[in-house]
Amino acid sequence: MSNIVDKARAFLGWMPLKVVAVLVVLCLLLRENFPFSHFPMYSSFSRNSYYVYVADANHEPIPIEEITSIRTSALKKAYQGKLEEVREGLEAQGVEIRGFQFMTPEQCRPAGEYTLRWLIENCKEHARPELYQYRPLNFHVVGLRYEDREIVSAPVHIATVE
Amino acid sequence: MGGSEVRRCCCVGCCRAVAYESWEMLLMRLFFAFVVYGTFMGLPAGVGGLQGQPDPMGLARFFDLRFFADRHLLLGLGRWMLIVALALYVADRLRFIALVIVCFWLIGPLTLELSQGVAKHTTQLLGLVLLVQVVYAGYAAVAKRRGSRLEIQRTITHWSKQAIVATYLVTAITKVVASRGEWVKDSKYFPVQMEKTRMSEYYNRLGVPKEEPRTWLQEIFAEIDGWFATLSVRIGDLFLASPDLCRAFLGLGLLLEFLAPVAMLGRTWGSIIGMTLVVFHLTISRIMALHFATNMELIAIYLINVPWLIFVGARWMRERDAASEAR
Repeated sequence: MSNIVDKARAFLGWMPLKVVAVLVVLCLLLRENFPFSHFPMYSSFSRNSYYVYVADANHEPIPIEEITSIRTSALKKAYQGKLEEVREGLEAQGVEIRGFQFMTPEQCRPAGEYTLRWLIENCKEHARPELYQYRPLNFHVVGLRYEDREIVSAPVHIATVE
Repeated sequence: MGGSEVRRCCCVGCCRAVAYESWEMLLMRLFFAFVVYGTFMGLPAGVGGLQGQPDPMGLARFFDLRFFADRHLLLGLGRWMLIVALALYVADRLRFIALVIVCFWLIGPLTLELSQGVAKHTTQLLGLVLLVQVVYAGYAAVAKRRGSRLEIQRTITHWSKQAIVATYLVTAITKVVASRGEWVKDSKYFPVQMEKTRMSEYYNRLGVPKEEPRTWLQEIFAEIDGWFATLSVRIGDLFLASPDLCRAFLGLGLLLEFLAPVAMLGRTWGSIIGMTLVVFHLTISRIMALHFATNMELIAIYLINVPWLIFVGARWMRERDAASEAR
């Protein structure tokens, strides 16, 4: 037994960049557990993507970062996270969904409403009065699709929150 | 001083800790302390007033970290404890205790910030560098490791460099695994991501600049920003028209991430890979509006080792002048 321990110790002593090896394994196993991460951003490309924006009662876009300091990319992450939950819930009920791009606006609505509420809860307190001036807030998603060296966009209204 | 290594195996890639001088590592610790302090001072804006940890990750899975949302605690007790700990760290006194305090006041609030259900990847590298430093400092303290203070400092620096290298390697591996080996092939869809970023940026502020330029210098920067924005659109169009060019460009980025371990071959390779990674980040920052300032700072400290480059450059110029005078 002690022989194996000695050999392991000798191997570790010899092994170059052992910290790299250990961290790579830990990051890949532990995934998103700060400070560890498997860094999944842009790890795969799809022909479909989308961006989001927030609009006022007349569906006119509002400069959300200027008002709340929250960026549309953060809204999109909150929306995407909730959308995954919604999709799992639908699939548990036996609804077959081939991909997010095939979900109907009605199916996406809970995620859109969650995102708008998340925005209101997470924006700075002093920003809320200005944000409330635009109520009811509307959440829009613009789908993007790569089609034969062109990008086709498709805007959809998802949710409204008072 | 020079490019000598403490030990070097015969095979390529088996590099050991570089024989840094004590003044180099003092500057590294000083710059690292500034990075930590700068990140900490940005925390109250990120975590201040947070009500919960709806999507707990890391330590937040086991502990309630909401007390870090108290701005007074962060800017009062937290800031002063951090300043004392960083001063000890820079002076290389009570190394382990100082690093434990730094980890507590940085990793704790950052974990809370990242437990809100919105993934961000701008501070993980700093967290990992801190983690490996505290692990080695703990090992050196507990094992009462024989060896000079200089040797322990060198190993801590060596481990910090490995944490940086590991991060880029993980990024590359994840790309290959998640795309089932088709990342480069599928990268022809990258213009879709560029368009998404461009339009998201537009809807952040509806085209209104963050600040109106007030001085001639700000006007120049605004001009440069506008120029880069136009360039980004042109690049997007070019990539859309030529998918192979897009694949070649992104393929180079992936190759660079896989080549990150080459930075461990010595000072020069560290600087070369480091500078390439900084250029890589600056390009991403311009094209995709993804800013990794902390990563670039850590790369400049540990891989590029800017003071060493200045020292070598000055020495080379002195020698050149002396040689020309001798002639």
